[in-house]
Amino acid sequence: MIRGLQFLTLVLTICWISQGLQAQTEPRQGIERRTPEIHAITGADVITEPGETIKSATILIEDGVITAVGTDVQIPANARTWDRSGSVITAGFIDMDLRVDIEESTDASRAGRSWNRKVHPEYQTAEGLVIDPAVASGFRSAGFTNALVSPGQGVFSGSMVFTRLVGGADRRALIEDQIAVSGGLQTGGWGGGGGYPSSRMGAIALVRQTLLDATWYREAWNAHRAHPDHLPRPESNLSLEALFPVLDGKVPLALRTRDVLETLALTEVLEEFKIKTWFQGNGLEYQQVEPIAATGSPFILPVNFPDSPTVDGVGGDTGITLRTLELWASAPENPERLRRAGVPFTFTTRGLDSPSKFASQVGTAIERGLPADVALAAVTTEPARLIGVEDRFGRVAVGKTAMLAVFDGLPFDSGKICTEVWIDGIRHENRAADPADIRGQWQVAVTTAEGTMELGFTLTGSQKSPKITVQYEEETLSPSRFHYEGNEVGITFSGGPFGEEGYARFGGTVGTDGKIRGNVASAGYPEYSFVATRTGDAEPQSSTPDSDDQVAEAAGQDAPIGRSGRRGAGGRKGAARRGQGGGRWPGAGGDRPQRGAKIDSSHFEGSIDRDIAMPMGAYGTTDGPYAPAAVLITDATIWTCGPDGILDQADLLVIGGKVVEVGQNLTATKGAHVIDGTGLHVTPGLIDPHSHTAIRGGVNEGTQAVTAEVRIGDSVDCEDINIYRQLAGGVTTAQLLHGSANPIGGQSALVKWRWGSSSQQMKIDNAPKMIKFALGENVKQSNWGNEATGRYPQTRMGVEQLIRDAFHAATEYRDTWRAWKTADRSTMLPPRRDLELDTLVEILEGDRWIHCHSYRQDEILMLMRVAEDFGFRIGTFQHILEGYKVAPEMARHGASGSTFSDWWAYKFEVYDAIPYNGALMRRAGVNVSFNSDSDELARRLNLEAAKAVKYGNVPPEEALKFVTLNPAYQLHLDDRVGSLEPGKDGDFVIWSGDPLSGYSMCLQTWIEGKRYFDRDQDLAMRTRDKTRREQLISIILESKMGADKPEKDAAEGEEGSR
Amino acid sequence: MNWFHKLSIVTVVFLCWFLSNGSEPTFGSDPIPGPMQIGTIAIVGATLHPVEGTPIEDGTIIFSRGLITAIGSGIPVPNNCQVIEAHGKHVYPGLIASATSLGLIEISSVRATNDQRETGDLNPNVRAASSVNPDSEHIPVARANGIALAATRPSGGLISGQSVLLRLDGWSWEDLAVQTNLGLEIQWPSQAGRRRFFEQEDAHAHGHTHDRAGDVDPRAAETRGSRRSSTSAAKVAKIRELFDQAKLYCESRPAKAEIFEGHAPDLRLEALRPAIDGTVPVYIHAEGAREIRSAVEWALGEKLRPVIVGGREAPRVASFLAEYQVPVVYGPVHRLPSRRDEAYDEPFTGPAILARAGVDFCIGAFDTSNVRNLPYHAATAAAYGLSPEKALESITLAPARIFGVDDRYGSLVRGKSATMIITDGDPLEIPTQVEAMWIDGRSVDLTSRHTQLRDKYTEKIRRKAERRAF
Repeated sequence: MIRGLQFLTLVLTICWISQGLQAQTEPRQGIERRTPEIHAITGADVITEPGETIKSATILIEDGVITAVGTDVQIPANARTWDRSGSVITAGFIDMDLRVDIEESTDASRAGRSWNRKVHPEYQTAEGLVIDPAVASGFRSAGFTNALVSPGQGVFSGSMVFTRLVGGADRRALIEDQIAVSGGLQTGGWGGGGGYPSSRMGAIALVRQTLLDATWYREAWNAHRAHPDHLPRPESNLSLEALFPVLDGKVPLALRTRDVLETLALTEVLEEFKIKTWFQGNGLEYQQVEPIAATGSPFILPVNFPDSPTVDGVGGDTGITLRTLELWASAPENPERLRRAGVPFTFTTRGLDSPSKFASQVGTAIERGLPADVALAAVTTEPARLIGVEDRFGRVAVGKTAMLAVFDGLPFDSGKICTEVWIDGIRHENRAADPADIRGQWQVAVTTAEGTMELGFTLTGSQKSPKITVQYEEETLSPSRFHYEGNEVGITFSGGPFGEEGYARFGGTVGTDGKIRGNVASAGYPEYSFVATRTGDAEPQSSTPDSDDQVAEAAGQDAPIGRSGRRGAGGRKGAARRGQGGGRWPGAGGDRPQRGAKIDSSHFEGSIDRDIAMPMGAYGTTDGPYAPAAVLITDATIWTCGPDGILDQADLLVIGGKVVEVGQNLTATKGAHVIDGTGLHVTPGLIDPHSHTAIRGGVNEGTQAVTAEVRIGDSVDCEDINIYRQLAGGVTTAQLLHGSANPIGGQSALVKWRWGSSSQQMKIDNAPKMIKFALGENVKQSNWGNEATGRYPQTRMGVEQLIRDAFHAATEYRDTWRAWKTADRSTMLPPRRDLELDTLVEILEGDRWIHCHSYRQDEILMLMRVAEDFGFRIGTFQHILEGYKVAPEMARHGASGSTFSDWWAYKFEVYDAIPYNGALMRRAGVNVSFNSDSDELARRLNLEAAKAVKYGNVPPEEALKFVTLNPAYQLHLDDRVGSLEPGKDGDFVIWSGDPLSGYSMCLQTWIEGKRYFDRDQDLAMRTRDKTRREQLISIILESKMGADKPEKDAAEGEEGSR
Repeated sequence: MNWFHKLSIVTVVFLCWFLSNGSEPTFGSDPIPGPMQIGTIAIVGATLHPVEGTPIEDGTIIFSRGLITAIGSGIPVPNNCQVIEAHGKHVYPGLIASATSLGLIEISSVRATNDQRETGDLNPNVRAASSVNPDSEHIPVARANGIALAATRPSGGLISGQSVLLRLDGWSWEDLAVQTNLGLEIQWPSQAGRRRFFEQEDAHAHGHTHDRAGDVDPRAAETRGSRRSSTSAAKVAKIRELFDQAKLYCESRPAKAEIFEGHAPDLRLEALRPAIDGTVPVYIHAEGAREIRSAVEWALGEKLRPVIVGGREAPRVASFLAEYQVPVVYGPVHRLPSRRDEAYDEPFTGPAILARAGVDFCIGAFDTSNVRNLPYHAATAAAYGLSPEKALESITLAPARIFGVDDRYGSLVRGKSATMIITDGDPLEIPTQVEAMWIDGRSVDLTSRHTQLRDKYTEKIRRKAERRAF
């Protein structure tokens, strides 16, 4: 942005509004400006607030404040009058989400600030805030006068400030400071940095821990201040202090979100804190509008609706999924769907190529059902209300600050543009007056010592930048260059009377009489003077630039300032690169024409009333699963996996989601759905105790060796198509595990694959607590290449020590908290709540069960001994490919094993993996399950179970338990799932034959008496989805075919608008 | 053990540690190859599944000097013949794995044990055959589930090298090789590079996700996608160019001329000669419909003999493939659908669609350490529409036909090689046990590293239980 270097240029360029740029406290230089700032804007229709219009009204502004609005306003004699008949005036628009780039701190010490470089809520956005004049100009061209500015980086980013959009070194830019603290789930690093957190769940854990830290920090300091002699001084931490207003609910926490899942996960986490939240939205909120409404938070919505996908027939267009099409088709409905659900929202231009697109995008939303008043409110009254400045902003009314936007029609109507804005009573023209039209035929007389020389100029093209040809004695000279700015022209050519050597340069001024007078410089001649007289019009112009182009051109005039300005750096150390964070446009000058043809909204008539499928795209559902009051399956072979074993020609009755009875000759209750099971097999729903399906934003928080604080439950992805695919393989329950990058990983999520539900609804209620541990090559980073040798541990020896050390820390932590319960408050600082150690304490207490990724017998034994030393038991060893070597020891310890038959020799530590592992562990008395650890293998866990029969002669009935009852036991869910016994959940699968036969097919999958997969319904959905896909493609093609010039390269530029 | 010496010191230390810990010499003692068949063997009483022709109940199959001399029911058993009573058992031809890297990779993450991919894009001259480690632990493991023959294919680049068809028993790679040069492996560049916004969720349609130490970054996948699109044409041009050069080279220079007019041969161009003159097929790895079509059109234009390998979308162009009579090595069947919109069973139904269209295809597991699961890929195809007979054929006679060895392998017919297995049931069913195997009449040991470790630790569990009992 702009710094001192450019200040001079800036002042010279915009000195006419210098008054507005200066703060009152600033010493004056030179002669004081005392021009009266009294303006009367007359003749326009004034929308004083959404829904209220005064026709042909006058607005009186005195010293930046509106002093009168109405039809019978007395205009003072000293007022400057601006006739704006035919225009429409609204309050100036407020963009709620203008982001500036800040750089990650590189300070070595980070004295007085958070240990984590992504936590900088203390960052003062107002400090050194400079908005690029070109960016500001671009916003004004779209009717914006104000913006809420926040830093674009960080998990806790900094303060949000309310500014005006004058731009440059505007010392009055800041209107209100500390409106909110912004944040977001930033992962990885920027500028090449990295570090914690690297995953979405890690970022969520950091948000939670930081808010807890701030709470603790205040208590600790209060305790210290009360007893400064007894209690040690806590650390000083400006980052945590900056969060006090958030904790107190005085200032909202505004969170950037990338999808609805993030919004809802954050809402879930922040519930424990009584804070106010805003969401800087993502445009996808309509996907789950009810839970979004339940957040009670306002949303700042982008309007960067995606362009239509490119349909060209190549490869059958299979690359365009129904989901892509639906996302395109539904995006403009986001605001209206939220309005209908009662969600308060405002708009932002963020994500658009340029603010100039804003009006047409909002226009599309209006065509798709959004009331125009609501759209206007979303950039005027609503932002003012949220920011808390509605007493001064957002309306055109007496006493309000004179922030106005003047349009040549209704604001969001097609082709209407904002001609000027008023900021604090100062007019900012968006469209400079067009220069004089000098197109036509010109006769040029050059006065030389020998007499007059005659030439001809022909000027064609656009009014603003015409093109020139020079004629001399029937000959057209070229190349000719032409420059035209203000009223000055410069013409360069060679040849003609001036010879082929060198160039003749004509420099002249367009006079009030329409003639151009000036001098000619050339090689070989003295300087002559010339006079050019117009002798005729140019041929009529075939194309007049449309209004969009005019906006672009007008804004473009500022571009040179913007370009030079952006080279500068920001105001202070650590804030060097301030720029337009969200928007990528290079100032307003970088406006690009709208690509492709606009799709006629009439194609989407009634679309707003459609239900949005959960999840969107193929195989989504709008009406949830089939849920009869009861289900009765008759005459099937039922693998109960309970004490009854396998029952032939048996019946299964499920009522209210629970198994009521398994046996012969059961009778259907009223309203029961009856399935003739003759020839079919029924098993309990399969359980996958080791899955990484449906985790969004990273499976590992691999930046630290111990990450017990992160929770997979915070990043469950209900939209993962693999959920549906696994239902089609009979899986109903899964443990979603953290990856194996860390000796102590994150907490598991136990889910049921309730396809069509939200991430929250998929999680099992009151689920037992689980956590991932890992040993061996992965945590040593052995296969990460030769560079990954820095992190502790690098050996199995180190892994043991790291785990021991963590449990020592947890023990100490537990003791501290125990002591605190009874301690004299003057003798002890309040202990800090540490989410990582909390989790480890749960393990020590037997409340949380370890699932440990492990391969070799040495490490398996090691971990059991470590646990025994600390007095707890290992729940389940995962993979455990050498479990057969220490199976008796496992049995004695009481650990379970979850393994698979294949997967050996892909790395050194699995060279001794054998398919007999499961059967051998079972023989030694270990509870054994098989798992998938794979989206693909999870589709056929029943066949995996059959391998226990093949490799080790486990009886079929027992083998099936490897994927039903045994994993249920390992997940401590065996009282609810895993077998078909009365009282248990009605989770079952209907198979076309023996579930252990490769020739069998899964026909139906039910969870708690609801049908989530049905082969027949699946076939119907394929047809349904194909029809819908073709329908949407037809809409695109109809519009594209109609467009006069197809945009060949449209696809290339269609990089994600989000 | 060649690869053993290539291991890093650290790994060797690890191995020694293991060795010193094991009381039984389980390491490096994989089964001894079977001796040449002496005399005649007759298997009687079993159900014979010749693949060509219907199953023969209570049948007799007789083989001598490695060849089947008689098969049928009620056939007299000659004197001086070893008779194997197999009532209640089944006899099938040995299974043929059509896409593996057996012998080239031991432990994929240990670079020193990986010989599957040479550096560079154009390696038509490298041959898998001479790098196959006959003592690889993977070979007995595969064999134990009935796999008798396997095609080992080099990978990577654009032209990866020459594949080899192995019999899975023997002392040296020369013993193992059935076809030293099975054909030329070509990796057809993907043209599906145009990723679009909002397809991130579709970008990680990954398969196996073991050991989630690192995550797939969907954005990275997207970038890769667009880069691929811009270079795929250039890659195709590279393949075309090499063949153009090779055609001229082969015309102007007689075959087998080691030194021609004083010039040493160009190994790369020379290696294309058998493909160009039609002696061997080109195995073109292509997945998408567009790639399959353009690869086939190119290959036929060059008068090559194309075989599509992988062929994920071959079912979409089944009639095209049938019309041109281009065979397909399809698989794996056990994989994820390629796109969100595809049916969940899209990979499973592929073989049935190919069969209906009349495409000559076989099924591959596209796996090495787990290639023993090959019959279960065929079973899944059968569950989703392929006839069980066709499913069996797709892992026996069909690959033999595509590889041009159906005169010797793939079915139980008089005069063909005595390469067969005895099972206690349908080999496509997982619980079925393979009880005996002959390759070219040689009786093959079905033990493996896996059974040896099983036996060792079964003993530990037994002793521990015994001690507890007293």
